[in-house]
Amino acid sequence: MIGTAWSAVGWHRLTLMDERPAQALPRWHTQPILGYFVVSMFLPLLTWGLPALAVLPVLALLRALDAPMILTEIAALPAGVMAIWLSLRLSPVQVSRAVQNPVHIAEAFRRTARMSRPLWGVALLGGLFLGALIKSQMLVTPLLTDAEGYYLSDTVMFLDGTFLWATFILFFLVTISIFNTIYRHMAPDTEPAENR
Amino acid sequence: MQADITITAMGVIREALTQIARNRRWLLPIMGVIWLLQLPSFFSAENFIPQDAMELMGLPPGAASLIPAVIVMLSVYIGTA
Repeated sequence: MIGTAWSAVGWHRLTLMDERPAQALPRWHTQPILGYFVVSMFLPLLTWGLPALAVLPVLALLRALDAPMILTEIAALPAGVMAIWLSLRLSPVQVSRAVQNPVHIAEAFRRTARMSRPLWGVALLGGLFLGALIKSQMLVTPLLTDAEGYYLSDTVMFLDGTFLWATFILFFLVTISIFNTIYRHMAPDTEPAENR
Repeated sequence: MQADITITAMGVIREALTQIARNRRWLLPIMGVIWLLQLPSFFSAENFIPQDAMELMGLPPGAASLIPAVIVMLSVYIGTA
């Protein structure tokens, strides 16, 4: 997780501050990396926790009725999109830690208010993208395992893990780049109150 | 920093992808070593490290034996894949 935060901070600082990495690694900045790490641990409790709480009774009901999996997925989709939208609206909290110009939760929500509608679109596309990545993983794994769920060989197992790793890197890179874009376009702090 | 109220969903995505394309030569130093080191975390220890083979070679799992085992195993995988 610290490695992921270090990598993310390096990318944010490169694109927003034009800070070039060192020879083989991003530059180490203790305060921004630890701040980013802590925020990344706790922010999802809010951004994913609230939509999860909202959808839990529906999922419990569907489970009690022994509903097919597809119905559960359809019911979970709005909550997933809502969670991604909230994550995007509050992403300046994370990015601002990387560039050492802290923005707090309420402030991030206020300063991204004018991007609310396009961010619903990004959240929907993001949800579909995330769903496609998860589905691709779910489709690949059964091809590599036998009837009892064991991998066909060590090499196949290694390749499956590597595929998961590459998928995660792609998701990580696109996500932090979208976060940068939102940070660039959010309203300035000095904006008059009547325009907020 | 100017607020942009005209940006669209596709605009956000396009700008993010452009950002990746523009900075692609920095991807390796920013992500390469860190993510290579994180690769083992995508496997369980039993799956990633062939512990049965290590024991056969007289290398009980431990910090000192895991590091060369990972290097050897990666070399084998890369060499035979």
